[in-house]
Amino acid sequence: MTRRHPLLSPRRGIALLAAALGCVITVGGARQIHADGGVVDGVTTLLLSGDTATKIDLVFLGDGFTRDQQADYNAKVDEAVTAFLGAHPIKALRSAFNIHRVNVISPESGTDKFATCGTSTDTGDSDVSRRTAMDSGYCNGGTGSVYRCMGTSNPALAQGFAANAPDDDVVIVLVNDSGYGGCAFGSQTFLTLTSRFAPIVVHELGHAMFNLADEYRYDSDDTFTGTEPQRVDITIATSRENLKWGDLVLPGTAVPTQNQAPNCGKDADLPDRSVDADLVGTFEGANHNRCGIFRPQYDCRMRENDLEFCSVCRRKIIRDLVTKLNDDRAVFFANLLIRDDEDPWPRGNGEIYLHYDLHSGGQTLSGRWPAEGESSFDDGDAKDINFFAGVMPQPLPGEPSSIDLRVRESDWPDGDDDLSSDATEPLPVSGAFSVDRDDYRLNGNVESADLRVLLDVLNVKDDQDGFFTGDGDIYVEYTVSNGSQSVTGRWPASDTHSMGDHDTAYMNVLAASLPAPPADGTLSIHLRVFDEDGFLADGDDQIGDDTFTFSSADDFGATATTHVRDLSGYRITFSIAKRPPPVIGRLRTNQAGLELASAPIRGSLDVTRAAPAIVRAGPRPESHRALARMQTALP
Amino acid sequence: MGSQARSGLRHRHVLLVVLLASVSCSEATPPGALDSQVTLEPRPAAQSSGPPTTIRLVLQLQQDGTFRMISAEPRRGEVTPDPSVEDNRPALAEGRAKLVEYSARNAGGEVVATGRFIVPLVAVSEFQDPNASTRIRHSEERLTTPTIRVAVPYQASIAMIAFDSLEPGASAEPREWKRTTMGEVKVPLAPQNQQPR
Repeated sequence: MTRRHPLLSPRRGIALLAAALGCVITVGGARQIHADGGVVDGVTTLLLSGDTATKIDLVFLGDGFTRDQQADYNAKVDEAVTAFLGAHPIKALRSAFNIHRVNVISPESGTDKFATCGTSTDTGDSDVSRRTAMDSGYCNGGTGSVYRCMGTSNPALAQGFAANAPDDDVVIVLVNDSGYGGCAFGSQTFLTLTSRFAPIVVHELGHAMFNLADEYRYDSDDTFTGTEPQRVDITIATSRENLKWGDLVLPGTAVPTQNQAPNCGKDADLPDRSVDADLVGTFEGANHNRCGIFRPQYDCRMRENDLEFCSVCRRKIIRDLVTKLNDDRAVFFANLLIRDDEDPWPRGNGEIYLHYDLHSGGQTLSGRWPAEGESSFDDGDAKDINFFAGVMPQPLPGEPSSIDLRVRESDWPDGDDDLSSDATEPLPVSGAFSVDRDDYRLNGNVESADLRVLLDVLNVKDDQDGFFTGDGDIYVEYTVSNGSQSVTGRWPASDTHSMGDHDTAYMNVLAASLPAPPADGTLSIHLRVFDEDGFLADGDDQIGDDTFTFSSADDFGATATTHVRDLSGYRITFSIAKRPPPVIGRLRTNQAGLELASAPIRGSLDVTRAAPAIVRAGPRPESHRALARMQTALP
Repeated sequence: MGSQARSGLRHRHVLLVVLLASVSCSEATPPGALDSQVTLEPRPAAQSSGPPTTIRLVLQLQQDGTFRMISAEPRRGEVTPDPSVEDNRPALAEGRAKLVEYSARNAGGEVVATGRFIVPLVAVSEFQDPNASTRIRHSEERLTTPTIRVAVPYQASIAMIAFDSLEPGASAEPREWKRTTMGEVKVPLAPQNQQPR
């Protein structure tokens, strides 16, 4: 049921009256409302992954959108959500989030602007006053001195509107203005809608959700003089031994990797970006300082909005999210039988491919097998596919999972032929399924899969392109195996990726989601890297053929790890994330005693909700020393 | 090298002719990876089922150093985690943030929950500047009366929450830092309001 903001209640009349009077009022003696006339027009959940008590709930609000502009607001939210969920590795870990959109109608369009702002006597704007739901404006809503700080004169308004969402751990307020402005107030961020606002949302969420530091520096700033920052992506360390991301730095990489020019680079050009983009080391200039502080890679989304997260940030994100993932379901296509290949040509086999849509948990995952081209089948052929179709959330109550399947035979030039009619079949929560039609039968299975393998970055040292001077047409075939089950795949999914020598490509692939191998088992990742030789008859050039093996106990027992493998022809970075058993409780205490559990208690023990210990408090500070608290993470 | 390239070009021409003549009899490409697209299916928002887990407080730090409570609502959500003291120590030392400890009590004065949270005393402005060589720009805005949202553990019996600010000291343990009382707020959880909205 859609809930309404208090301004929609009978109090609204009072609020609107106050809006007309332009005043601040107290309603019911408890809640103070600055009545700018905002009205909630619905609350929509865009991504529902689970209980708000266990997920990160991201809420979007809009200010300065009139009733007629709500569709514009919805489109902007979609743009931001697409950017966020499309960012690697968040795409593969989306079940850690719920995302909600609150539609708020403002009486007027736009936001407040000011000709003067603090000590700035000329902002370049004229004074503009708009009646908007959250009273947003530059200069922190007219209360501050930083012009580009988009904020509000009354933060309680945005807090109140955010409360309409089921929960609101992190809030993004999109302000309907195209100027450059943004400001973060703890977990709440106001942002204008420039042409490139969506990547900025992702950057800001890097701060708000994952506590990542800015990795850019200013043209005129000076040397960082503080102690070692706690944030994972900046450091003052100048030696490999005490570098917190030292495990990702290759032995041949110098530390520091890149310094500013003498005299802290003043009056000098920026250090060039001739280093390989995927190389992890220490690069001077971060945290808004030019010197004395280092970032892990030349570029990162925390340095430039349009780029991907660097390896250190990516690992932090995976580690933060892996404990919040659902018991998602991996869908595999095991084998395909073609009874009638629909091929009228006398010379034989049909060229078969299929499209599928997996529906589950309020999401649809669409794909194609094979990703490129077709697979040759004759009548009666049955072939093992071992194809990882994707990770799906578990079904919502009353909404069973299903698969839509369209099987085709490629039939140039007069159009492809259908094999039987398009099918829709239910999918089990777990176990085998079959889509059986006159012309074909697809067997598959749905499994709880707690291990994810992500292919992050590829650097090709030698593109093997002996033809003219152009880039190699690179692709990678991979097989991931947990000892009892293997899945295969290819990157890019279709065609190739053009790369020259020492080029870096962000693969951003969830290569596999599998049940983790047993404690004494191993995970193997087999990679074959090629340069496609086009029309040449001598076959594709192989750049590498390597298998990496990991012990589950030592390499990724209960967390997430990122690995760099430096081979003769290429270098690759990939991550392994193992979802730990769900949290069933966390006991906390202080010096006064009781048992201390510094880590979450995990497992399958059936723990019912326990009443917290209540200790009669004496005068403070004694009350603080005699306290125990039980947080129960599951209902 | 040059002769290899020319030889390759001849091969390409020959192969292209063969391909055009044979139309669709090329070898099947090996099965590839999924280039899947995820489509979300929006739906009206609804509360998660189950009892409330938090009380969502919206508080405003006033200029006299005490909190004014703007709202207190039972919610099913995540308790605001205690902040990392080390992460925030520089900001605390520079007066850019305040570390606050709360203790929630029932009507009889019994402490039923405690925790800590950070009150940011600056807003961080970041914006894209197309005219600057460093395209993201950053500056900070001092906040005099910041408003924050804090989720404390839910207890139906909570009647009042007291706050102390902790000022950084030499000790690594904030419990030993200088403590300043920031007053208390009443939590009006009427019986009919003790379920999430």
